[in-house]
Amino acid sequence: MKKIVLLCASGMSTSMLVKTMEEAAAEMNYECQISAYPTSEAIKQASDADLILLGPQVRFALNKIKGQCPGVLVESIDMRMYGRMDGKGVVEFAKSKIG
Amino acid sequence: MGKQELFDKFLDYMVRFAEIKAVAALKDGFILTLPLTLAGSVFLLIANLPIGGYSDFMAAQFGAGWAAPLNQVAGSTFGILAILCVLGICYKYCQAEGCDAITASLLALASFLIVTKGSVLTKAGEVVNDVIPKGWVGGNGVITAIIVSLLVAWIFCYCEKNHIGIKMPAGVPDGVAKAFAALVPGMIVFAGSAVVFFLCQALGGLTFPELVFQVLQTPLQNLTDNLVAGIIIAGIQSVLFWAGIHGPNIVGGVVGPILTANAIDNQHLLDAGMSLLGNPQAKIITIQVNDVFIKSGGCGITLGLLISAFIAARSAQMKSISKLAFVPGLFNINEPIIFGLPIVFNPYFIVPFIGVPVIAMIMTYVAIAIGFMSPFSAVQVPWTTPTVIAGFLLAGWQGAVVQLAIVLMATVVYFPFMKIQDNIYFKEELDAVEGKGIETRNAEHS
Repeated sequence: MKKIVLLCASGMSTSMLVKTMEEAAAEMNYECQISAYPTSEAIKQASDADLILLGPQVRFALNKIKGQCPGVLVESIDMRMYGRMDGKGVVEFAKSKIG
Repeated sequence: MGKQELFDKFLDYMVRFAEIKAVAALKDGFILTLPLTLAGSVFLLIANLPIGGYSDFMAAQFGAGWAAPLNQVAGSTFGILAILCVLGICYKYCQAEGCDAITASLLALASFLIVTKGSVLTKAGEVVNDVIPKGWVGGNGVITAIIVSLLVAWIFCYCEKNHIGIKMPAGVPDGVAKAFAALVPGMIVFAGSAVVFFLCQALGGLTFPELVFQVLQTPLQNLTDNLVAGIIIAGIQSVLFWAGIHGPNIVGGVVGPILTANAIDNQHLLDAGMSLLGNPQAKIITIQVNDVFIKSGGCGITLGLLISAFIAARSAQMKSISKLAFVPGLFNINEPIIFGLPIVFNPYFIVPFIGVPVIAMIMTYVAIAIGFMSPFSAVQVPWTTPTVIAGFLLAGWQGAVVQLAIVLMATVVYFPFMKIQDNIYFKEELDAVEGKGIETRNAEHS
């Protein structure tokens, strides 16, 4: 079971993406736990994650989050995929990163 | 230097600014106060519904003191905003540094109270000692709270990282060791606070929050409370989001505490029995103007773009993205349209995306300045409250009318730009269909 944590400014728009990602993951039989939080909750919620995905609007926080969650892979989500809430695309991207 | 380079430099600067530890802690810490001020708003709203004759009606039903319990809630949420800031900002700073955040926050709270007045003056001129004055731990103490919390957090983290403190031998329980570890930084910040208290008393005959309020907070509040500042605040947020960076997150973190203090100032006028409508003493640019009136459908007032797309879009891309973005847009979440259309770095949308919120700011400012709409009290609504409803809750029917006018304006301004983009997509789609047609025809021939 992989743990994927999505972070954005307030955890609102990423929580929309979580839904489409969960559907896509179920279809692909990819076992993972996906959740969304504001970046300010990174330490509390994402320290034990396998992958942290940042909304493109907070990608400037990439280095900060990397520092806060050492050992966790941090990537930002492709802008178009994010905007179009392309859960399948993001799950495939996650899969390519953490298997 | 080219325009592109200049813009890149600006972005780079803003991002670096947002990454400064103190700025990030200020932003994240201030967000922690939101649940309290929003919940407090509900009670304040019930005490002051923007309906004529409401107060008299309630007094007739429940007696003259009907609002007292409601105001008690407001007084213990907005009324202690500075205390909440001290705890939240210090906590977030130390948490990000990996230090003992809760201990540091408690030290910061004590330090804040050390430098704050411990007495109040009654109207009769009598001094009452041994109190925590709500007048200084609320909106008026916000800037002091920021200064104290950041300083204490910095000192605390410095001590912890450099192992300045009393070290316990191995085997001593963790909790005990922690308590002793906090002893030295505690002594340092308390001594520092006591010295600050003494110096302010001895040299100026006042306390540190009073000094900060006079020389820093009041000028800052006045600086934000005019149309030019409003336009700059609205404009920068849009420019940043156009570049794909969460503008409200960066700008709001810094101006949020000041604009909230502006709103609480207005509440003080109301509490003193004055009316806000057309009152030149009331502040116009408050937190609600930034959070609600220039963000219908999200930053950039993209609700206007969605509506114009519903009216006249022909391309499948424009139609599908505006459909997808509509429901979140009603709740002022607009990442789908910003990144999906995309608006980010799209030259066709830079003008309306920045222009519409700026015009909305001007409309809101004028509506208040000419006395059509009341300036805002401390009541806030969550930023996800749908437009028009939010306006009604904050400022009665006049607020709803102003928001409706803003959405109409946004629709009209976005319309031609939406059409340009729509025509491009439409042509692309036609070309794609024709291209495919030619391919299949060729396949048939061979």
